[in-house]
Amino acid sequence: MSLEILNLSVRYGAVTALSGVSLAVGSGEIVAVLGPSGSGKTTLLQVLAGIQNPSRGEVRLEGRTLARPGLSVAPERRGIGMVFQDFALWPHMTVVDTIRFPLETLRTPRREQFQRVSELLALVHLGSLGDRYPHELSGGQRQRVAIARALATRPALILLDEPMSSLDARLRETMRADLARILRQERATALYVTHDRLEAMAVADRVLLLRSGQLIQAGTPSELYEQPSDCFTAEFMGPANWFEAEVVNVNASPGAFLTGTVSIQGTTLLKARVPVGVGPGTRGAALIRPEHLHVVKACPKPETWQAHVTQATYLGAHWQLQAAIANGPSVTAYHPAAVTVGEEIGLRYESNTVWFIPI
Amino acid sequence: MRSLLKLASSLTALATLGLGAGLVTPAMTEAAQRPHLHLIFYSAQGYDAAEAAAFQKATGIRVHLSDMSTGPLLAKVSAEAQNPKWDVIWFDGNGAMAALNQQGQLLRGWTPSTAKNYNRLGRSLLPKDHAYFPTGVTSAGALAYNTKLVSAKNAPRTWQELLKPEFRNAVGMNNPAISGPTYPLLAGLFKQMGVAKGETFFTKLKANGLKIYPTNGNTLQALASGRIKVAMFQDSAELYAKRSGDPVNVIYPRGGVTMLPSDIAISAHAPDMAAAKRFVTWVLSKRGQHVMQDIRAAGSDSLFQPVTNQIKPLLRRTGVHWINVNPIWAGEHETPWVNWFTNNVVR
Amino acid sequence: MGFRTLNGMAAAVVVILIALPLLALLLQSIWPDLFSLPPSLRISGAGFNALFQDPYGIRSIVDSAGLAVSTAVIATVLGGAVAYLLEAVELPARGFFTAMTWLVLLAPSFLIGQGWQFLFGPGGIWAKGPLVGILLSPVGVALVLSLKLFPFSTLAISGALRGIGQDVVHAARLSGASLWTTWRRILVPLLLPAALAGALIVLAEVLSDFGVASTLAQTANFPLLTYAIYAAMETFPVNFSEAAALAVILVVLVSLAQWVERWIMGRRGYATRWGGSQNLGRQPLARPWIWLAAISALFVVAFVLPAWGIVAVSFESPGGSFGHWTLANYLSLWGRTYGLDTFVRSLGYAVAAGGLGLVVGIVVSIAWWRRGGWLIAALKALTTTTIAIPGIVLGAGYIFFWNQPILGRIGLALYGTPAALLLAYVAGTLPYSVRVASGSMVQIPPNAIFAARTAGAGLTRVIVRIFIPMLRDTWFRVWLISFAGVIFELPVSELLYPAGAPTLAVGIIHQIHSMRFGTGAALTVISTVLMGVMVGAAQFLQNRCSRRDEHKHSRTHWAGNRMANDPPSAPRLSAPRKEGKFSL
Repeated sequence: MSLEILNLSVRYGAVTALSGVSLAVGSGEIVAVLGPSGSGKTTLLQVLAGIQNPSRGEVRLEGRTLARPGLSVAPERRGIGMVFQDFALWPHMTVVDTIRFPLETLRTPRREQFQRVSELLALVHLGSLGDRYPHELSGGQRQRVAIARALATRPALILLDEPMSSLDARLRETMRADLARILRQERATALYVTHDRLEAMAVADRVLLLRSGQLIQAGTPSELYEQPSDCFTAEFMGPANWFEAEVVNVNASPGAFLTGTVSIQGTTLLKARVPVGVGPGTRGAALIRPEHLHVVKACPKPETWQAHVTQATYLGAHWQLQAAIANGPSVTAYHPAAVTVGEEIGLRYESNTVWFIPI
Repeated sequence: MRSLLKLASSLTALATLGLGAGLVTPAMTEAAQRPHLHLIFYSAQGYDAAEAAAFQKATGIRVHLSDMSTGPLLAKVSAEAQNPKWDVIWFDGNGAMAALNQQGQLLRGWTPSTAKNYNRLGRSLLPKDHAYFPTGVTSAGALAYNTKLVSAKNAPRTWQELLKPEFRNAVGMNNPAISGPTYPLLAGLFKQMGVAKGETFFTKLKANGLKIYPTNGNTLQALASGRIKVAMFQDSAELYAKRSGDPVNVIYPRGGVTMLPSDIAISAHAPDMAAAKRFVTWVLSKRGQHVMQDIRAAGSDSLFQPVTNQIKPLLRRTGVHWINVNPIWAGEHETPWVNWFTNNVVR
Repeated sequence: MGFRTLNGMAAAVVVILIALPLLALLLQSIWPDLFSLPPSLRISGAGFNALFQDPYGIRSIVDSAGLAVSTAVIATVLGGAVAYLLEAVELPARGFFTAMTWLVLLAPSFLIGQGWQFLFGPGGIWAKGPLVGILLSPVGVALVLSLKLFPFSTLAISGALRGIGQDVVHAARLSGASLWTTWRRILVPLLLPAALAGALIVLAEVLSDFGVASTLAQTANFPLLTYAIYAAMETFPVNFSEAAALAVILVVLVSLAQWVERWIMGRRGYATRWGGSQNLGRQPLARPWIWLAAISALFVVAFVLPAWGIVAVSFESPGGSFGHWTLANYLSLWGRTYGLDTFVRSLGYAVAAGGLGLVVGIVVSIAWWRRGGWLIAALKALTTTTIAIPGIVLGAGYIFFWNQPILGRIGLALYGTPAALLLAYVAGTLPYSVRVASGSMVQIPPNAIFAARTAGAGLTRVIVRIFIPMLRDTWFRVWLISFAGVIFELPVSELLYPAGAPTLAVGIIHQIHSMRFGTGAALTVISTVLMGVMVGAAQFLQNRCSRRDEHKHSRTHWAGNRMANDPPSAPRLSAPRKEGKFSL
């Protein structure tokens, strides 16, 4: 394991910013730390960087203890690179100077310094901008410089603190893929803090969801999206439709979850995936993501609900609609063709995509 | 350029509005509208404020006094040359007066009724065209010694005695490039000794460790505190120190001392000529002369030698041999001589 | 009113207040008879010629340049050290020392100069000590000026320290830089522009200083440029063309310094704030008492000692023996001319000039905040280079310009009225206030203005609702410095004060010239105390306003390198102002 976080807690006076977070990150793994405002994700990053001290627990990097109560390795001795939210570039240094700075402080031989700098410039596609100052760069270019600086000494761990938040929406999309490419190409072990689920899913191998300083769920992006442990996770990971549900029966199946049948709204029975350990009679909520609800205009079939369109929004690739299911909740669904408000439609669900969350 | 002018004129309008709205005090507007009711009086004399107040009280004519050092006063008067705002000027040194007269800035040919009060000294200092009027005389430089350090017996009696070894590093004077009354001292000594011998005298004095201070005050402090034993500067300041109890005594060297007349003059373009004439007449009157001697108000400037028969000096000068330097002659040489002094003595 | 009108107004203000009056004097370096009787356009090199023949001419230029540079260096080191102690470490009694810094800045320079004279001058307490030799030498002159002027550097560098975000330091530390390397490679270079800006103001102040040039420097036989200008104007007949030639050289020197500053800055951009919304934290101080003693000693030497000198003189009985205390000097100030009336008058001028100067400064700096044409660029250059114009040059220029007979015919004969003096005061402080205000202008993101304009706000509204609230602190400081500067202003006042209505400095000088040192000192002391009380009250009110709006201005990041639709960075809010252990 490259990075180990053991039962980490941080308190400021009465405020608990982190409580009992544990995590292990493998070498070359990219882990996204996801959470809403105030969830403690930046605190976690600050403890790793040495800006904050833990109140309890321990941080180890490649077997070396970096921080525990009463011990804190100075930031410059941690071997950690960091990409800051607003990049924290030094306005008086050119791109080359900035990227070379960590190499200089590490006393890398000069020739290697420049070799590494040009390698990094090529990696982040800034080949021709080496002698520019930060104010002469665009937002995306500044971010690339910040990334290159963090990577320069091939640190054991890279921390990224909401690195996309200073970029505009379009740039974010291209940078997401680019950042993943750069980090993978460098085989960097990275902890990526963000509040944006799309970023987390696009960049990370694993996602860590925090809320109020506590670890809610950790897993691959698809695990968090498809099998969230609670409603908060489900909502945080993407748009969700909820139905009151009760487990009718469960079939043992090999894997991380069970399959079974749940009754929805007390009547409809549908096939669903059920978390391990949930037995018949458990009440809870059934999650159906909008993309798994299909609009059918012709004759209603089984596995179809009758619904009434209350809102329709054109989004280019498809229409997003809000529909009220007869005797049921209002749901969101997508449809490739135009739908008009007031139209009566059928909504067919994909039964194996339903996920049951006990409450 | 056109746009610049346009801008300028728009701001002028703005300024007028703004000023008209609030910045102009009532007194100022009044002054601008009725410029011929007030006496505008520029002076560098210690007794000017007292004199102005007494005159205003006696005549009801309002006096607006601009009191400043002689330097700024002359700069102000020169800068106003195209459009003089003043009625009366009053300062020490007839050199600048003579130059102003040559430029045609002074009223000539008018004589105050009180000019009959002039004593012999006064009459000798009055220029033929009556362009300016002496009001008192001091010496641009007499000798003063520290009575704690020098006995009366050993005090210098002549300028040459300053070169004695016992006064090595113990003589001080003002810098003529800074202090107003010091150039007349220099010019007077050059007149008395001749230019070449005068230069030799100062060169020797420098070799004997002459100390140069900026102005009267500094030289006096050095003398009173004993850092130097002997000094030469304006005698009114020397006398004032003696009168105030400083360990200082004054000696008028046998060779003579340069006369530094205080002169008053009226502008050739005086906005309020009548008031100006009344003021000059008043200054030379008995009451006016007495005000000049109000030492509590004027300080050392009151210790002048009177030029009228209306008053007696506050402190009697004994054994003075006055040297009167032609102001025009002195003025012509001022720049080269001060430069010579700066280059050869001050350094 | 639109931005075009504003540009025009700004240009017109600068032309009328500064450009024309200065040109009226400076042009005489080449056209000596421009305002003679009769006027003529004869071109002559006599002014420059006289300058080269004047034994003080060349020497004073060299002396002044050397003194200005060395004072700027010493003041920057002193000011930087004080700024470091006040802003970067946990020094006890910081508020007190901040107030002391302001006190030294606002104290009239002749209070300091006179105080030094009293202590070390002939007859002074330490007149025979070994220090006198140092004090009355070029080194002493540089030290005295540095002690008076270092607050300019402190202010500039403190502001810059406050403007540096913590993240640039974190980035350096995580890049492997030690604390020392971080200071050397990151913080010092980041503070460089502010240090240079402060140094430039010190340089300009030294070049235009007359108080020390005419006293200490003369006693030390160290002729300075300003003194040479005065000498040229004060010998008779007045040599305005030589004075103008010297003033031209002064302007060249300041332009040179500004050019050097720009050259050092290169094309680096320091416009926006860098490094996150959280300020640098204060570092705990290892041995606070040593530092406390050092900074206390500095303020004792810079202010307490010279001030004590003045206070002591003010209680001395006139003409009486030393050590006999009396209130006579203070009592003599009531109800007579050249007494407290001068203070009241100067107070009026200072309030008016401070206010008018602020309005003009705001108009000019807002107009120049945007890119203008060649005219604006030229006026901008003019305003910044005239920062070092000595008062007597400005005053003489005002006489030449505002005493034109033609102005009298159109009812604008301002010379001799309070208005001319007021405008000259404004002109004298304008270069400084424009410089500071323009500097603070870059804190405003252009988007904030566009946002207001798209919200339908006209220029006036933008100024009132955006510029003024955002930059209020800066402008308050500008007002304060102008206010204090005007109260004790001497050279401009002496030339331009309306006859019969002397200003404070004229009154004090009058008392001193009349050998009433005690009365002059008493007037100085009482005006300084009254001014101090007023400044303190203003500062107190200002602080209360600021504290009320603190959440709006200081802590929030509005430097404009983030998009408006970004979510707030929450953990920073959940842990407000928590500073890390390696914060600086």
